[in-house]
Amino acid sequence: MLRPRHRLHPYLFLAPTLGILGTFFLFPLGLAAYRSLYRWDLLTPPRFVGLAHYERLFSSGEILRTLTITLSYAAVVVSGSMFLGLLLALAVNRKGKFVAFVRSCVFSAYVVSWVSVALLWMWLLDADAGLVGRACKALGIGEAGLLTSPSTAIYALAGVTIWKITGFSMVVFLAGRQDIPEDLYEAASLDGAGPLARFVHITWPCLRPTTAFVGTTSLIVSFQAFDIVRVMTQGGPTHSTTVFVYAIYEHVLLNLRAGRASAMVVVFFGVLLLLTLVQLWAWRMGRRSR
Amino acid sequence: MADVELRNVSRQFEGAPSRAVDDLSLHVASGEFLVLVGPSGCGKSTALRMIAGLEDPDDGQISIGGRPMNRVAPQDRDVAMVFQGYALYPHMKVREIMGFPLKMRKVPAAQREQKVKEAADMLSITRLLDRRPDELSGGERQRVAMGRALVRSPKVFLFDEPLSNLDAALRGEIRVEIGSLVRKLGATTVYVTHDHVEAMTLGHRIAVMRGGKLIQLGTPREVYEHPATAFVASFLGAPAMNLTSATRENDHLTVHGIRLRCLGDSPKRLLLGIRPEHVKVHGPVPDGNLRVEAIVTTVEPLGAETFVHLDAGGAALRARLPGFDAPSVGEPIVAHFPPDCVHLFQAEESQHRVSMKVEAA
Repeated sequence: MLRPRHRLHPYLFLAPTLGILGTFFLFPLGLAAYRSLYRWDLLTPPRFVGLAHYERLFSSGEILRTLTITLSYAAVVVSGSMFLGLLLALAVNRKGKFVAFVRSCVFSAYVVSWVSVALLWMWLLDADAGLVGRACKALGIGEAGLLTSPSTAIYALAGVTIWKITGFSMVVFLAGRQDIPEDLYEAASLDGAGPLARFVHITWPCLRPTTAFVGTTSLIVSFQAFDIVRVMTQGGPTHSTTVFVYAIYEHVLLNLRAGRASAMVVVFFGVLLLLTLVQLWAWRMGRRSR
Repeated sequence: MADVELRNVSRQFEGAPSRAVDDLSLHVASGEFLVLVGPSGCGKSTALRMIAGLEDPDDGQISIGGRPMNRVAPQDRDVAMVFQGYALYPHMKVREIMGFPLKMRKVPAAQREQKVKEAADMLSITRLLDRRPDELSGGERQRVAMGRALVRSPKVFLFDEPLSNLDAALRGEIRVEIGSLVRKLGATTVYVTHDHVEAMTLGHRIAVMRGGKLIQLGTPREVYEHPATAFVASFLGAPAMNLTSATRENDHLTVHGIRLRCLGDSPKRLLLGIRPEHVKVHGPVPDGNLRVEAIVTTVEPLGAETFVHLDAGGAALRARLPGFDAPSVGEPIVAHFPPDCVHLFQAEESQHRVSMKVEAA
């Protein structure tokens, strides 16, 4: 076994990472946990209130509501961008100038900033002047405007998010698809597999790690959602698009409730931790079944 | 079982300067084992892939069992192929890989299991059935690939250089196995290789290809003993046939200062060939043998035989002698060979065989 020449050496190697994690992650988290026990409006001195913020968050149903909104937004974004990304990847997996052009177009949305995307779609979704908004209206969906109706606003935001990040999913799926050796498809077709059977028995199982990657990254993106909420709906109408990060922002910067916001940060961290554990467990199970 | 026929089949890849397969006509009888052999890029794999349906010919007709196959999808041709890289599905167990062709043909699970077991027994890979390809050695993967091909008794077996990824010892072993297995099944087989040993030992007939064209088709013995061109002569056999240029004047042929008498008609400029195993270096020289004085330059003893490289008046000459019984380097010797073992070819581009006898002048 390799032994360090000095007992301190391993810690020296860990120091940079620990320093960064400590400064930008552990310390703020600890600070938030500490602040969550105080009532503080950023102007007057903080006052100790114990677990009152947590009690309030749970009893008022705010946590449950925010979590439901965030999870339904995430579910639509993850499944939508995965499905569309895969579909597009398979469609553009061929040579030719036109296909290359389509590929670049789809990916370009991913490069555009969130704020620009949000502004563009606000205009497109406008019920009176927007192309998409008017089309939806004609079809009888969200007659008052997709962004102004509490039942549709969060899905409209999810749709915009899918539109933006699907280019990335497509590129990752395309890379995964091109990694599958062509002779597997040739062998499968000689074995009697038609196009659908080749997808089910070759493409899909071989893309499993890619799918896991795309799922994880789009889940992270959807949990971090803030910019488009801030620009397009400001959490409304009637809090129907107040996702976790936006709720925290609202508490601390609009309502000047630093303590309550800190309590939310701690709860959000707990949720993310739980989600990570579930994902890790699923990943391990997947590995074992292989 | 079925016969395979290619009629005037051509294929040119986009951007390629010449045709990969050029006007190829070939008939593989039902139950025959045909080896397609040639150097890399000669079009043999393309020809095989066209039989499989993985490539479409630009021109010509391909039929299997009398049924035209142009534009029939690979899955509808009932042919099985063993790929050079094995092409085993990485996420499946051996059992599933071998059962896959049956599953695709909607064979019930119980029957599938039975057939997979039979095939696995035949290839002695039963103990591997629950492993995945990344847990198998090269030889084992090869066997699984064969198992997948033979589990459903297809009309035609296709092999695309199946042994080229194996080490030499294993290659010899599996070559013998493939031979006996295919003979036992009696299935129509097309086998592509660039290895002349595989070609000679496996096939009922050999088709030698070069530059997309069929150069010669015949039994291994015919092709070896009567090569149609100088290329075929040098391609089959190791060490390769000795070839040297010769010039004809009237009824005499001059080869590096040696004069031979011609018995028949021939062009003026020729290539004279003699297989290394026909060159003798020990006396006495039998009557009528052609003789040439030479100096030994290199001796390569292999145990069972020894390759002796000679310098015969500026021309390189190789001899293949049994055991260790060879002269030493630098020794002047008289090399000799019977005149009926001499092959003659035109010196021009086609290098076709010239059927003319020679004798010692």
